[in-house]
Amino acid sequence: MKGPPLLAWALFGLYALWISALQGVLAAPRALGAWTPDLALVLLLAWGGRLGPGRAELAALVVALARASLGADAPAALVAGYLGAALFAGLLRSGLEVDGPFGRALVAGVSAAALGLLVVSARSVALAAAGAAVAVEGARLVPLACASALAALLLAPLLQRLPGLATLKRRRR
Amino acid sequence: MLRSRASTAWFLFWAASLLLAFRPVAAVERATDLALAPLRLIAELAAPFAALRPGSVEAAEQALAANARAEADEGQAALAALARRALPVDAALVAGRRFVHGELVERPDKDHGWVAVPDARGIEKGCPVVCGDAYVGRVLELAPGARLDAPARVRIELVTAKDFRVGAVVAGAPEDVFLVVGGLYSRARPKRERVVRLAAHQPSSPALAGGLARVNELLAGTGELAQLGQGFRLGEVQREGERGPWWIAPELDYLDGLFQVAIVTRVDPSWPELAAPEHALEDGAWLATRALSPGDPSPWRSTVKIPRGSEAGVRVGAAVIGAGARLLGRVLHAGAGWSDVAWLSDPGFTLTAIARVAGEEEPRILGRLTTIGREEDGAVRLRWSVRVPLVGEAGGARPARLFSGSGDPGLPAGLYLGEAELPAAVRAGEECELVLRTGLEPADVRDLFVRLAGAEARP
Repeated sequence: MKGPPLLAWALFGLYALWISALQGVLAAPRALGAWTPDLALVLLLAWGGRLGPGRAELAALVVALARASLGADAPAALVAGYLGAALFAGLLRSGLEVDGPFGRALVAGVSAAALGLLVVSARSVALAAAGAAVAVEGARLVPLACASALAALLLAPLLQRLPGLATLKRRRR
Repeated sequence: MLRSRASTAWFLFWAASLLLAFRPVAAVERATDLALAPLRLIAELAAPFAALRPGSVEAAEQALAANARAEADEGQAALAALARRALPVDAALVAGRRFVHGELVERPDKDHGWVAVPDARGIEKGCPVVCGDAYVGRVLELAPGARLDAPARVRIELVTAKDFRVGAVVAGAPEDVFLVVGGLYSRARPKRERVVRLAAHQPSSPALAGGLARVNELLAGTGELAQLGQGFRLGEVQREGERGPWWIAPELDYLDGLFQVAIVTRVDPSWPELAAPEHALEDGAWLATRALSPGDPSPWRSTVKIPRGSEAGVRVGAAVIGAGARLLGRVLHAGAGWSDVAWLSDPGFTLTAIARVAGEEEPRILGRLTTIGREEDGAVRLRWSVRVPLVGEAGGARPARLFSGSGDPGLPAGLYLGEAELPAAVRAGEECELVLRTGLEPADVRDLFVRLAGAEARP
């Protein structure tokens, strides 16, 4: 199915929102807890290599805003994290094969850990500025990275088949 | 070339976002708030995901409803006990004085507080403020526009304030020693030791070695109101070495343990006897709302969004409860049309608390608790800065039921938090870790109530 790009972007935003909501359900202590993958990041990396120039960064913004609409992490930290992941993947893409299953899984694992570290550090700095004598504890980045890498390996092919996004793909010459 | 410029622009945007993540700028945050206001509508699209846990939602709401009355009664009983303790027991301190009970509802800084009173008749600038037999400070002013015959807020200054001075006496053989007390004793102490000590100035005799200091307003011009504070306890005088300065070890936790106080006024038969304060659950200052999102996507956070914001009277710090007397969380951020609510288990969540310890009649004031994180089973890890010691046999633990305390705006006292085991013995100045078991996952509660701004001052 092909339609106007605006509709495709709206659908991409809706998928990002739903996948972030699913992540919120899975992150509960009785569900996956610390082993919850960053599904929004997996969606971004699954589509990052298929979008045209400049579009992967735009997709990162959409994903960051979708996640900000469901959580309390600072929007600036989320934008910096997802945009950083998109830029990092783009940088690697110029010299390495990162859109294959294992390359993507590796990038997803590293990016998820980096994004987690960034968001936790930003929260700890905000708490310190507010005078709270605690930092964020219990943020386990290794399970997050492993779960995200595994999710990228298994789910990325399915996420690439989401309906309505065909017009976002890079046009081949 | 064009592509290279676009890449540079994205990189600069990323760098700016990174900087703002660690060094927020207020103007940018306000603009972001406005720009992200439509996110509330977008979040509504995620509502179907709340249906992924219908069983746990039902169980949580049934648990809340089943325990609501018992928890409310227990919280109310704890508050009533604290209110009784705010009145002096020493008959000599009661005679010839009238006491207006008040609850400390806000602390703009560590040396001042706003006290909600049921009736302001007789209260004026300079009236002493006490807690039991202990001296707390003085009344500074009534809130602007307050009526005397109606509930009002009164600003008080604590004896810990830098420029506060009150006359004192240490009775003892061979002679009484007179001194002035006020402000904090600020001799350098180990950084981790967070104990409040009052400064003692100019004792009339260098032979002062110790003893109980009581208020003794002998200074000229202190007036009739100051005399009402005569005889209230300030604490034990102590000295650093044989030649060092004196200080007073207070009997109250002035920083985080001051919840219920009494304002001392003159006696006037025309002023009414005052009824016990109403429980905050019954004052109607709650706004019904619901959870907008199924949960925070970050596994280390415990937050939810609600579709009510500052325009509806929601303010940062407001309590959020379910259908009952149990505190679930507090508003973390109030935006335009939406708010972020931090559950009890969100790192950095902070509140003052009281405990009903098993086997003890009277509630204990714990002071301030701050959430560190949550355990795998959902239990909440809390950091407790101890200021009033627990005395008992070391090594044991005492089961206790915890309730919210007073002093944080928007957070009523007496809301149930959960169960925890307190150490049997702990010294003032220590930091302990408590594990709070709430028996409830707040994300499973869909129908919520948020405390409205300014509810404590309502007539």
